[in-house]
Amino acid sequence: MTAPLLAHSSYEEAFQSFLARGELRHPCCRACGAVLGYAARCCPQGHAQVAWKSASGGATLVSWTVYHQAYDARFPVPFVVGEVRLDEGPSVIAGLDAQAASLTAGQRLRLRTPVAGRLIFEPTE
Amino acid sequence: MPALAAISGLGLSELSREQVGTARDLAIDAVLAAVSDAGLKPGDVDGLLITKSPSAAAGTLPLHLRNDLSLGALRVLAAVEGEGTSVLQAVQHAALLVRNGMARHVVCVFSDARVQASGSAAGYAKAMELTGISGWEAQQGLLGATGAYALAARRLMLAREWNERDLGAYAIACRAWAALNPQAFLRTPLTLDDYLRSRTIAEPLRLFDCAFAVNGAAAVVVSAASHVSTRPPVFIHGAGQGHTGPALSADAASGVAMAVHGALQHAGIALEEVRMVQAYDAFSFVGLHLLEACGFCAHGEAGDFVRSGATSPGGHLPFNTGGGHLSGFYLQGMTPLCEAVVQARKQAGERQADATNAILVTGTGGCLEYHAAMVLGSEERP
Repeated sequence: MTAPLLAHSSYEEAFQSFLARGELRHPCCRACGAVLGYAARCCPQGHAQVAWKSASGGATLVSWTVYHQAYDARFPVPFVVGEVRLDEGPSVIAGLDAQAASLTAGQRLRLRTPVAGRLIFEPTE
Repeated sequence: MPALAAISGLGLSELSREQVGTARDLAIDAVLAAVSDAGLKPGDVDGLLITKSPSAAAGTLPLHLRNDLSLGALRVLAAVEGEGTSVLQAVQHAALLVRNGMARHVVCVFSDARVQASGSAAGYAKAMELTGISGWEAQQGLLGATGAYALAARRLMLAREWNERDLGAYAIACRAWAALNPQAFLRTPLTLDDYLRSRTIAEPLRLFDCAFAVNGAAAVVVSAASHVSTRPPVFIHGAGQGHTGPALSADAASGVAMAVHGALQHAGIALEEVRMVQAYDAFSFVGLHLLEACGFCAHGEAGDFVRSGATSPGGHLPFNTGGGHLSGFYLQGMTPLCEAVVQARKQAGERQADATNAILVTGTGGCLEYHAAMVLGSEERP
């Protein structure tokens, strides 16, 4: 499923344009190389420039929820959403292509090829 | 240390699951009631701080509320936005303003009218931003606060080894208090079976893990302690906040301890001296988290602590004595604040607790990202 791009700033625009090309990238500090979470726009040392590094697509499952209450027809229930930690460090909210009953915390995940506006991970086995 | 300031008036509008007016209409009712309760006239008010739900539309409660209320010249007028901490932040700002002589009587108001006649959840579907990329959560279908909090609930349940029975025990204890509160919306005693049978909203959260939304408004008048004349004031002894990290970081949820310990230190009391807690608990596990994170019980033991009756009527730590957000009513930060004022004034009827000199009140916003706390009490010293 694709959703419309919501580009609120050059930061969002950059992240989403990589996704649209099938690439997941994460921010890091252009000056010192520190890996940054997606919520940061500069590194704790005060360096302001963000560079985008390719993520390997490997990740672990931190948490997940299964919606039973529908909020929007675009997301029919039951609908699974995960909190995923990339192997590089940053955490991201993402879709999960898995049976909810089979999910466990710490489970290894890999990224399916990204599409515009969506990230979907699946268990490696 | 003398009190920072005092709460001299409390007012509520009608609270209802029906549509009983716009948020702006309801805010007017609550402010007028609070001003009257303080023994004041609108012309005596010289400050107004306005708060609303972060999910309510912009312009829901504009600064024109001043004109709606025909208030005179104000020395302070602003909207305060700290998501679920907005109400406590407004009261903290008001306390500092009156303490420093910048105003005499500052009204803090909160109003919300998102419950729709159809019962639709549309007013509560706005996505919370967790990752840090604007618009991202809505694109992934993580809609509404419940889904975002469900992720946090599972994370904490895994880390603290809580199970669904622990969350249920919390909801049951809150309902036991609500049964004693005529103003609470859910007063029928809750059993563990009732809780386990309630429908799932977003796993692991069930209906009875979630706040009971209402339309309504509440307001308080914050005055210099020396300017309260009509009734015994409720003293404000200490204030703290904690905003420790983005939602998906390990640090975020620790903000509650920072806020609470900050407020206790400010008030000059120890955790063991807290006699009552009125917590912002829009979801059951948030209350369990507060108990453990602040040190009221050890990590992993909040379920047993609540099951022991410690937080229930008759327990040694009365906790959300009006039923809280789950069983009382959900007016965000006003729910715990109003109950603290009612208890401190000894007006809580059947649910009145004995010790009201050190009441901890908390506010929580974002997805456990923003925290505020205050110590209130019925005595000049905590």
